[in-house]
Amino acid sequence: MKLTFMRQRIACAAAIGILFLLLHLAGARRFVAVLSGTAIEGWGPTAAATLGVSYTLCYLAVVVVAPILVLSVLLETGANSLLRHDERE
Amino acid sequence: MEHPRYRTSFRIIIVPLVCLALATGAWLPLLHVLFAPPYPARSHHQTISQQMMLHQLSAVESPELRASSRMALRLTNPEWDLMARTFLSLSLTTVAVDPGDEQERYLRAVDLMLADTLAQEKEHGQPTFLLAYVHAGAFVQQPPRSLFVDGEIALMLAARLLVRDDTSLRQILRDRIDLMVNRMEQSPTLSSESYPDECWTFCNTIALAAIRMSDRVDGRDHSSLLRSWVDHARQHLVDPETRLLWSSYTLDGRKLDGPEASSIFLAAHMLQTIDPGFAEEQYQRAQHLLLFDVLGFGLAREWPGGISQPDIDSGPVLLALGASAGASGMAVLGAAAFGDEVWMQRLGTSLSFAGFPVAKSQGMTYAAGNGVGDAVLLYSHVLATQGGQSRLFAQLNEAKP
Repeated sequence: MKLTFMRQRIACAAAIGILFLLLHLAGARRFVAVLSGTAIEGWGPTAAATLGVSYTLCYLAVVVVAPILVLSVLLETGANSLLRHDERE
Repeated sequence: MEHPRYRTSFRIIIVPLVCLALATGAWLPLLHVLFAPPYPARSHHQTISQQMMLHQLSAVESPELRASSRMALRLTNPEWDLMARTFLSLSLTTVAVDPGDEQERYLRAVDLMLADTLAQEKEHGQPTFLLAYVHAGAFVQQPPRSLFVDGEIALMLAARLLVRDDTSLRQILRDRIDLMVNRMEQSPTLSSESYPDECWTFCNTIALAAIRMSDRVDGRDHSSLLRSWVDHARQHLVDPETRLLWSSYTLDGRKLDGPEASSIFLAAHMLQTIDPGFAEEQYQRAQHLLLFDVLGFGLAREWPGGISQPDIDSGPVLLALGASAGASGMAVLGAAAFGDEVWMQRLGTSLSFAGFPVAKSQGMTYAAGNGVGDAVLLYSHVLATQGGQSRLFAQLNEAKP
């Protein structure tokens, strides 16, 4: 099924949320300490940085990108309703 | 179901793009509201400092947690091991000035940290708290001693003794102060080395504050040295363009590192004990040149002009912004120490957003930081609860009973 752009955005927002939830439940939050240059005991720098940066990027996507995508869909739904109403008239 | 009549390029392309732009324009400016600390701010700072103190106290009181947190810090930087103790001690003594139910607990924790620190220094030498490059050259002043180590230990001792006297600690402090004063007085810059031919403003201002506190504890007077240091620094140790103190210089006064946020905010706070006017001036300049706001989120550049140059003190630097976690953490301390509620609010918003606060079984911590970051933030929130008027520093100006 080909997704419309609106549905793509909703799917994207949902995927971001799910990915973040998975990383959070897997305990990746503690790896954000790499942001302050802190080494993580028992983990190599590359692995720790990868997990830390991944978690941070997902977190940013959840709080910044996903709401924008959802909000834009809501706005577009409203805009389309208005445009359909205008065209009927 | 979409009707073919409506499948125009306007509906397919323009409307979605406009809606995306509108959504972005609406969401981004509002984002900071979600993370801004609640009002009244003082009760927020009180809550944060209580929760952070609970977590850090539990780590000190448990030998296993104490050892593991120490190892975690030393993995990256042995200096952080000592600094975490210093800032936690400052937090505990600042709060313990007011007698209360927890005063004994706080002083016991400080005594535990002091005893352990002195024991570590005695067993392994000062290099146990220093980066490996301490062995890369020879100290100009002999025998070699690091003012970073001496100053922080002296500060912990002096802060402890300002709250309650202790004869054995008093002599240890006196001896330490004599060592530092002797070396500083013999130096052409009135400063002492932390590493071979490296004098750090961070360390020298901590040492000066320790000397000032020590004078209060045992009635001696080193005000001439303190005044002379400030006079010399104003003339010779400031960046000519920004008028901010350099971060590091050689013993004979050649610049090594220019002003940086991870040094200047703490230095300004320590200078509050000696020359409040100069301290305020340094804070205001640093605030103007190093702090900036992005959509309500306060950040600190490590270097004036935003040059992106990470080092072990600043940690990673955001290339586009020149901001770093280390710089921003110290900026929180600076804002708290100088009662700057506007920047406490902005930086606090960033802390909530990007600090990743985590509730622990006892208290809370910030996942994006580490033990020393937590200790600095705890001290900052303690100062903020006191409205930027450190009750510990206030002891220096009160008449002795």
